[in-house]
Parts: sequence; C-alpha cells; structure tokens
Amino acid sequence: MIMETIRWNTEFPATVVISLAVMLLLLFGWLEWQRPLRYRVLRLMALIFAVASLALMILHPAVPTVFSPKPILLLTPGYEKSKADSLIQQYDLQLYRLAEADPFQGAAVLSWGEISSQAERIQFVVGDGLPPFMKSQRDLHFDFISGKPEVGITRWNVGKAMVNRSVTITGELSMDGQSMVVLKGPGGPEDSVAVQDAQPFTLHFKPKNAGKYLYIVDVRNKTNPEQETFPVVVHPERKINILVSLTFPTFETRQLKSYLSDKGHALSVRYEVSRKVFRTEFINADRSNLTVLTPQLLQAMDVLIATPATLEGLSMTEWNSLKEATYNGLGLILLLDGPLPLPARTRALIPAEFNPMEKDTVDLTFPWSGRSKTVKAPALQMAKGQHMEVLQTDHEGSPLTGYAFSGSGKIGFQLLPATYRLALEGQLEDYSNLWVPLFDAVAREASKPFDITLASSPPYYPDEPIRVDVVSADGVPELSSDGIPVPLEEDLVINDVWHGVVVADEGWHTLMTQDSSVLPYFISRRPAWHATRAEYQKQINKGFGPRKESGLQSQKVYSEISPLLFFLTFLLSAGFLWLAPKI
Amino acid sequence: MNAALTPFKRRYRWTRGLEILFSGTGIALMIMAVSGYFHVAEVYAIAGVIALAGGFMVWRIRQLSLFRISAAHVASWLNRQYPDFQQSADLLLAPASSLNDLQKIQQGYVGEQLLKDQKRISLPHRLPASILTLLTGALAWIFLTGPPEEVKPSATSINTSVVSRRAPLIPSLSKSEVTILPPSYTGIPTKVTSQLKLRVPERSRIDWKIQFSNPVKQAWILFSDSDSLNLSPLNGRYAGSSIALDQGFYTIYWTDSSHRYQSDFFPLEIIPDEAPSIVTEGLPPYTAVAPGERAVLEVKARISDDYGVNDAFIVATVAKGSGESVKFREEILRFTSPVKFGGPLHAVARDLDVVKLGLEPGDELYFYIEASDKRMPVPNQSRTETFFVVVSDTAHIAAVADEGLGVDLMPEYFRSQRQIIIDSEKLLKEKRNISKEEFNARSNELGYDQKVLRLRYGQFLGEEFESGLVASTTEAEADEDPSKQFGHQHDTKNEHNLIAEKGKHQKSEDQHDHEHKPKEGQETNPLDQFIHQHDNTDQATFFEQSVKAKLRAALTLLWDAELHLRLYAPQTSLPYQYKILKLLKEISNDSRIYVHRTGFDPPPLKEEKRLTGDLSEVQNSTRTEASTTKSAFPAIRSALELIEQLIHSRDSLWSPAIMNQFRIAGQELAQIAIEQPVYISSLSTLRGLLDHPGNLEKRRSALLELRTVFWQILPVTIPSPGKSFHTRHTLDNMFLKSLEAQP
Repeated sequence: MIMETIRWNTEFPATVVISLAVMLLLLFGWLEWQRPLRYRVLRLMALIFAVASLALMILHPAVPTVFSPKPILLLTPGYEKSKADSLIQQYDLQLYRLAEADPFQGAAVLSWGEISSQAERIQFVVGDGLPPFMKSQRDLHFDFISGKPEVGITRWNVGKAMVNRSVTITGELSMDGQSMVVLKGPGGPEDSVAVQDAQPFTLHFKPKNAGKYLYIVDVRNKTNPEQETFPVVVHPERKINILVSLTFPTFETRQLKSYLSDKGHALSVRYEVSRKVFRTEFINADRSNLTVLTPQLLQAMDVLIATPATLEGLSMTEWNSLKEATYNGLGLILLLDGPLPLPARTRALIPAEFNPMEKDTVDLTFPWSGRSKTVKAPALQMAKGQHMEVLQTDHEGSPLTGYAFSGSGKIGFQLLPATYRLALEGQLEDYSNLWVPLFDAVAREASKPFDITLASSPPYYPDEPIRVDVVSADGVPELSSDGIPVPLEEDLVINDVWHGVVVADEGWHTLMTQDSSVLPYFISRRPAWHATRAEYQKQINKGFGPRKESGLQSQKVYSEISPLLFFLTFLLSAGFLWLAPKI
Repeated sequence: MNAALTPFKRRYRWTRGLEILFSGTGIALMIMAVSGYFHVAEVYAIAGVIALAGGFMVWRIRQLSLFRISAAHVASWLNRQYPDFQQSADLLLAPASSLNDLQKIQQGYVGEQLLKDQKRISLPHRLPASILTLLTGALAWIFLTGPPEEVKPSATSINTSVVSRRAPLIPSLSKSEVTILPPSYTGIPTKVTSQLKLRVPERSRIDWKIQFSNPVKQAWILFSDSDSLNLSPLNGRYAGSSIALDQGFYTIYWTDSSHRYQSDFFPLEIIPDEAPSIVTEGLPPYTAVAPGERAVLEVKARISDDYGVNDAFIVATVAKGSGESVKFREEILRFTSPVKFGGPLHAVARDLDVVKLGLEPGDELYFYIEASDKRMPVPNQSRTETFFVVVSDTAHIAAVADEGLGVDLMPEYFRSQRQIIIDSEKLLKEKRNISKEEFNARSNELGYDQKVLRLRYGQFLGEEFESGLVASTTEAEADEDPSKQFGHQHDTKNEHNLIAEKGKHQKSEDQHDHEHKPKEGQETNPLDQFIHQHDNTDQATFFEQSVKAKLRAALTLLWDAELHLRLYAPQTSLPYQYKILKLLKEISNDSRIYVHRTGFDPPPLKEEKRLTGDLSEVQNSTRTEASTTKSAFPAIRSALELIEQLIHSRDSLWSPAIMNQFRIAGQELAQIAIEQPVYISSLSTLRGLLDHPGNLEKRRSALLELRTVFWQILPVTIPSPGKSFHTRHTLDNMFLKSLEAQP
C-alpha cells in the first residue's frame, strides 16, 4: 500500500538499489553481531537506519500531497493599490504582478510566458491589463478592473495617405483644461485644433511627396504637455489607362482630357467624326487601333468614358465586349446630360430612374475642401430610393455622381454638365474634387497576388509580437520582415488566409512577400502613445470576459522528501556506530 | 619670526597647486580624447571635463586643505620630519615677548637652523606623478583623436575661428572688407563692411578684400550665374571688384599647395532702381470741348523716383482730318513748373490750350506724361495712360456713312444714309406724278436699302445672326438685289467675308428662323418680320460704351426708318432718317481709332461641295502627344525620402549614390536660392553635410533642417485620381459567382 503511494524519483532501478541495500545490511549486521561490544540492539538499529537512509538518498522518494490552488490576482501597470487591497480582503487570492507593474507586498512576478500556464487560475486583473497580443490566449477569462483613466491622446486614427490628397486624422484627448493640439509634418506645422477637456478632434494635412515620414503631434497643455511621433506612409499617385469614346468633342471632355493628361494618365481618345470614321488621339499612351472596341482593347484599359450616344453607336459585338469588360473589372464613366428617356443601353447599365431637373442651378459642397458653390444644374435628377453608391450630392441630397456595381467592375455616372467652368475660373482643386472620387471608385483595381495587413493595432513596441495576416490569391505566401523569413500558418477555417507574428526593434521595418508586395511599419519607443495603448488595452481586456466556472480543483501532487533528511539520519547513525565502541 | 615660515607655506601651496593643475589637465585631456574617439558631442565632453577634472581638482584642494594651511602646520611638519629642529619649530611662531630666556635661545637656534637648512628642506608633493598624468593625457588626446582633419573652413570662421586648433597651417578666411560703391547718381555714400552677406543698390561696384590666416596660392569668387572673379594679391590680402547686376549668391574659393577650400554661400541681393512714378491730379481720361470754346486743360501730376527724376514732359498728338486723310502731329510739351528736375519728388504742372495747339472742330488731342530717372546708362522711363481731348464737330455731316473708320469696309455699292434721305425726299415730291404701285415699289426699294445699311451697322454691334431678307420678299426683289447689280465681288477688301458672305448667308439664316416660322394656316403678325427678336449680343463688341450706345440708338432708328419705308410711308420714315444721319456722323467721329473685330473667321465655304454628302475625303486621323507637365523638383523629392531614411540611420559613411543624390538636389536648391535668397543658408548646410558631415548628432540636425526646407519648397498641387490594388481571394470569386447565379 505504502509502496503504491510512494514514487521513486531516481534513474536507478529501485529494486536493484533495495536489494543491494538489503545485502549490505545483512553483511554489516552479521559483522556487527559478531563484535563483542555493548549496545548491540542499538548498534543494529543504527546500522539499519544508516543503510536505509543511504538507499533513500539514492532513490529520492516522493510522497503524495493534496494541493488546493488559489485564484490569482494579477497586478498590471497602472493598478490602484486600494482596489487590490479591497480584492484581497474580500477573496482568498494568490498575488502576482507583471514585471512592469509597481511592486506590491506579497506579489510574485509573473512573466508573460508564465501567463499561459496559469491562465486557468487568473481570476482578477487589475490595472491597464494584459498586452493586446495575449488576446489569442483562449483560456484566459477574468474580471478586469481598470486603473486610473489615462491622460493624453486616448484614440488616434490616421486615414490612408496619398500624395497631394487631404488626409484626415481623428483623435480623442483626455486631458483637463484647455489644450492645443498641433500637427507637425516634415515641413513644419500642418494643422492645429483647440480642445477643451476630453473631446474628440480632427486634424488634416496634405502630404506633398510620397514616401515614409514621421509626423509629430504636439499637445500643448499647462499640466500635461505631450509630444508623440507617428508614422505616415504616403502612397504615390498611380497612373490610369483611360479610353475616351465620344461622338464629338465638348468643352467638358476637352477640359477633362487636359486635366488627366497633365497628371500623366494615359489617354486614348476617339471621336466618331462620321459613321465608323474616327479621329483618335493618344496622350501619354502608345498608339493602338481604336476603331473597334475589342475585348483586348478594353482589357488594357482601366476606365472608359462615354456618353449614352456612344453606347448607342456601338455594334452588337462591341456592346457585348463592353458588358463583358465591365463585368471583369473595367470602370465605365457615363456622362449623362439628358435627354429623357435615356437610351436602352444606358438604362441597361445604370439601374436607376431619372427625372428631368427643374432647376437651373444646384448648390453643392466639395469633398475635402468643404467649400460650397452654385453650379449649373444637370439635365437629369435621380429619382429617390435608387440603389446606387453615391459619391457627390447637392445640398438637397440629390445624387450628382455615383456608381453601380457590375461584377468586379463599376459603372459610374456624372450628371454635372459643365464642370469645366470651375477649371476655367481657376478653381482646379474643386474641379479635381468632383472627378477624383469618381475615378478612384470606378477605375479597375490592379490585382496583386498577396495582401499584407497588420492584425495588431498600433502603437507597436520593441520586442512585442505583432500579428500579421496575409491574404493570398495565388499560392503559398513567403513573408519576410527586413529580409528575415517569417513563418506563416494557414487559417484553420478560411483557405488562403495566413497568419504570422513578427517582432522588431525600434524604427521603420518592411514586410515583403515574394511578389515584392511591401508593407512598411514603424515600431515606437516605449512609452510613446502610452495613453492610446492603455485605452486600447483596456478595451481588449474587457473583452476577455469573467470566468464562468471556477477551474480550481484539488490536485494530488507528489512532493519529494528532502535528501538532507536522509543525509542527517545517515550521519547520526554512522556517528553512533563510530562512537559506540568508545563509550 | 613667524615670517620665517611664510615662504615654506607659500612654496607648499605653489607646489601642490601645480601638482593639482597638472593632474586635472591630464584628466581633462584624457576625457576629451576618449570623447573625441567615440564622437561624443562637444557639450557632453565639456560637461565631462567639468565634472571629472574639475571635481578631482576641488576634491584634491579640499583633501590637502590647501587654503587652510598655516604656519603652525608648517612648524608641526618640520618638527616631525627634521629632528634638527628639536621639536622647537613652534617657537618661531611665538612673539619674542612671550618667551622666557631659554625659549628665546632655542628660538634663535631654530631660526638659524631654518636658514641653514632652507634648501635642504623638501616639502611633500607629487609633482612627478602629476606631470606624468599630464603627459599621458596629452598623448592620449593626440593619438586618439587622430591626425588633424582637413578642415574646409566655413564663412563663420572669420568671426569664430572654427578652424581646428590642430591645423594651424590650413588657411582660412580671417578678415574681410567689402566696399560698396553705389552708382554716383544714387547719391548713396560708399559703404565699407566686413559682412559678406550683401544687399546693394543695382549696378553698385563691389570691392572685396579678403585676408587669409595663412598664405594661399589662389583665390576667386564664384557667383551663382557661374561667373567667377579672380582675386589678386594686394598688400597681403586678396582683392577683386565687380559690378552688381543680377541677384544671386556667391562663394569664395581659395587654394593652398595641396587643397582647395570653399566658404559658405553668401547672398548678393540687388536693390533695383525703380522707374519713376507718375500720379496725375484731377485729369479726366476724356474731355469734350465744344466748338468755339476756349478750353484750357490744367495738367498736374506728382512725379517721384527713388534716386531722383531726371526729366519729365508731355507727349501730345493732335489728330486732324477724317477717313483716310487723317493726319497726326506729335509734340513734346515741357512743363511750366518746375523748370529743372533732379529731386526725388516733383509736382509738375502745365496748361494745355486747345486753340494754341491748333485743334479745330472734329480734331482730337491725345497726350500722356512721360518721365525718366537718372539711372545710367539706360534710364528708367514710365508714362501715364493716354488722355483724350475731343473738339466736337456738329457742323459737318459726312456724305459717307462711316468715313471715320480707320479701315473702310464699306463697299462702293452701298447707298449712304444721306442718299436714302435724298431719294426719300425725291419720292415724296414725285408722289403725285407716279402711280401708287410705283410709289409703293420705290418705297419698298428704299426700305431694302435701309435694311442693307442696318445690316452693315448691325455687324458692328455683334448682330451676325440677324435675319436677312424677309420671307415675304418677292422673287423680283431678290433678283433685284442691288449688290448683284452694282457689286464688284472681288475687289471689296473684304477678306473676312463680313459683308458679301453675309448676303450669301441669308438663305440659311432664313432656315435658322425655325422658332418663328409660322405654320401653314396660322395667322402671323406681319410686324414680326421686322422685330428684332434675337438675344441681345451687342455686348460682344470692342466699342466703348458711349459709341455703343449711339450705335444701338442708330440701329433702333434704322429699324424704324425701314419699317415705315416698307409700309410705304416715307414721310413718316424721314424724321428717323435725319436722326440716323446725325448719329452716324457722331459715331464716325468717335470711332476714329478703330479696332477690327477679332475672333474665329472660318474659311469660306466651298459652295460646290456643300450638302453633297461626299465623305470621300473624311478619313481616320490620329494625333499622338506626351504630357509636358513634369513633376516639380524630382531630385528634391527623391532626397526627401532619402533624408527620412538617413535620419534614423546610424551608418557613419554614405555611399557615393547618396552623395550624388544630394548633389543633384543641391543643384535644384541653388536654382531656387537665386530667386529666394532665404534658402542660401540651407544650401550651405547641404554643402557642409556633403563636405564635412561631422558626428551623428550634427548630421541629424542638418538633415532635419534640409527636410524642412525641401518640404517647404515642394509646391502644393491638385490631387490626381489613381487606381488601387486588390488581392482577389477565392471568396471574392465565389461571391461574384453567387451574385451571377441570382435571378
């Protein structure tokens, strides 16, 4: 029975050791028995103890004990001592703290690596919480008691930056009193906003050059001044292949052509001067045959600009090619300037009802600049309740530009008939604001085999894991960070979605796949963006949710008897055997 | 006797002081050497020196109690170290009056012993160790900081002696003297300055005298327009002079036996000599003078110039005659006040007597004021706008409709308004002798003539699309087109088809009248044919308002006159015709300066091809072009991306490609700096960065400055559309297929 409960933590065979011990005992016992000395019984007993303790020193016996683990209270940076004390008084808890958290009496340090092994015991987390990358630990459930509210920029979101386009930054400041938030770019101050107490705010800037830059946000506050650096990757303007097919030139198309060619886009223009007789122009584009809209020609184009009259003039073959091309990704922009009813082919492409416009002018507000202007009214007005993606409306909400989906392509429309007047008046920015969103939305998307995204939210810190997702359109991705391969695992549920983790030190880094798709990212120096990180971290920690069932059950644990005990026993026994003849 | 120990005390302090100084200096040199070796910023190195070397010296002084040492300490030390003093050196401190005889004897003995052993007594010190420390420090500084750098001194070295102390033989700019001698006419005195940043009046003579710290082989100045000026040695300095003509910047080069050096860039700003400003006082642009009126026009003006007005006068032109016989006479009229010019501001005045100038009714006087300044060799000139004085002429009524036009576009066959009046009067006289039909026919003919005249003038008011002959005009009338009877189609000087083509165009104009053409069976108002129903296009002419208004009024009267002639009522038409004649004469006088209509003049239509439907010559045509708009400052754009990388880089060496990229950006920056001298300092920074990058901190600071400047230089341009990238996942394809499958 006893032998069943005892475990030998030794590499030697227990039976051999015990047999040798018995043999040794018999040998030394017989010799001791032969010696004509006093205390025979005691000497024999001492011999038994000496041999047994020697054998046990070799065998390392372990005996079972019942262990009842306590739930853990984990202290994280920013914890409030009073809350910790209150929890300790109320529950029987074992105290741990993260290395970054302030020391607390009786709290041992728990490393990030140990968190997963103790996940089932963690009952309470106090402070700013566990770092966001712990979100992947599925067996972590706890009551999160957040620390003091953060002081500083608690929310920060920078829109996608493209050269010469206005970029909007939205943020939220948690700071008492009046603060001035100043945005500084490579060339100096870009924008500023006054914020009273905790309020959301918006900043704008317009990058002049493509590349990777560090911008600075400077919070000027009497009590808590703060300056943070954030990365901005400015994407270049990507050229579009545009085919303009019209029956005759107009001021509108002439100005549009001039604007697009000045910006370096490739333009192929054809005017049908007579039936099947074309005047063609190629600006920044190679010559090609435009007399017939073939599938090959349309496949090479990103956008086709046409009028209803152009569509009606197409042969049936061209018309079918056009429909096929738009379904496969070609963008079509139709300049709709009446009259009603629209021709059948136009109605087939744009599933919306139009009414005649009853006004001469309309008021509209330009995106980005926010300026308002009265312009010549379009001939048509879209009926209400149409399922179209609207990009620009007038002040009464009537759509002026928009698009509809057609397979992977889009069919856009421009109702405004005389946008060229804006350009002639010198308001080129407003003019571009009317056309750029339409081209952006409609133009054929260039395909790339891999799409890299950072699944973790910024800010990123040195030596902290950052989750990376790669969506693949073709094959297995090979991801590297600054040239160092990053192992990827495919998603368990969705095919061709891959996950990986990168760790990097401070500064700019680049993720790259084998097709040269790149994603630059920036690692900030701790404790930059501490308030943003803490706020985000708190949100993540609230998401872990409380543990519904206690995972704490009594366990039988084998604990080894200290060899020191056997050694002392051996010493005492051997000592008595040495001393007995001398007494 | 206390004085006997004082020299020992002083000697001890000096010895120990020197020892501390040597040790401290040695430590300081060692710190500088180590910090220099590891490229630590100077400020940190100096802080280290102060902290460690200074701290050591203070600690040592306190440890030795150097300032608290007294004669008693010396006496005590002598007693301990030298038995000869028999523990009695203290007696030297005590006044003789307080000693007993025995003590006095002992004091005397000790005093003698002290004098005798003065040279033998060696005070404690560690001078050899401190000297060794100093030597070690000096050696470390020399070896660890390497050989003297080839410093290319910057312009600031003139004032701050930036040139390395370890490179005494490298010549640097030590002194500069620039003499600015503005042109004599400016009256600005000569200025001498040591500043090399110059702002000088235009065409000033600039003398540079540059002194170098060490002999140089050659020196010259290079200007931003690539022109150079050789500096000649003159009394130990290098001198050269140039005339300041163009704004820009310059740099000084000099060479010694082995190297070439360059200074910073210095702006050379030019203060231009402005042209005189003339402000007239109360002078109307147009003045009409009634015939016979003795008009005297008072011309007053204020003429100012930055360096003085040299001369001013009135240029008057008298236009006489009319039509092709117009004659011009130009006169220079001096101002009556002042008589002489020269100052920077003058109030000038002169009375213009219209009669004395020989103006007669119908004549015109054009004049303007012209002034010149003292600028040499070519003075600046400026003038006012032209003022007009017109002497009205109401007495003479011309027989020709628009004789006043500078270009006579009137064909010979046109009847003048006067002729129509004469014919109308004649018709009225003959009314009783002729039949009613003949009267009506002749009246209608006169109406036609009136119409042709109306169309003629209508063109000047932009009425190209005015309907021609009305639909009701009989064929006979059409055949009797006087233009065909009398016209000479090929000799009308009418290259622009303004008149003859108009006649041809009339049919199509009738077709154009689609909006007003009555349908069959509908009643029509006969007056509609005569009513002007088109848009008012008279604003689209080049006539001034007064002429335009007269022309418009004349045109209205022409319509009325024609209407009544067409209604066979010449007697009612005559008053209108008289008014027309008067107005046309006035207009012809007003329109002496005639500007021909501009705009698109289409080539004449080939009638034989018109409406034939022949498309054989209509063929496909192609045009190819490339956009000429280039991205502004491409090198600066590339450099910006590069700077962003280098700011975070810790690489101490830059590749030749990087250096080259910066050089090209520097060339673009130099072009901008010529127009905007504020960027010259950035140009110097860039040059310094390439020639002498310095440590990481200095380089980062320079890169940050350049990043700011480059970013500011880039222009703000309007956005351009662009296409985006997308990775087509299998789920996307499945989604599209499912959409397609839906009905």
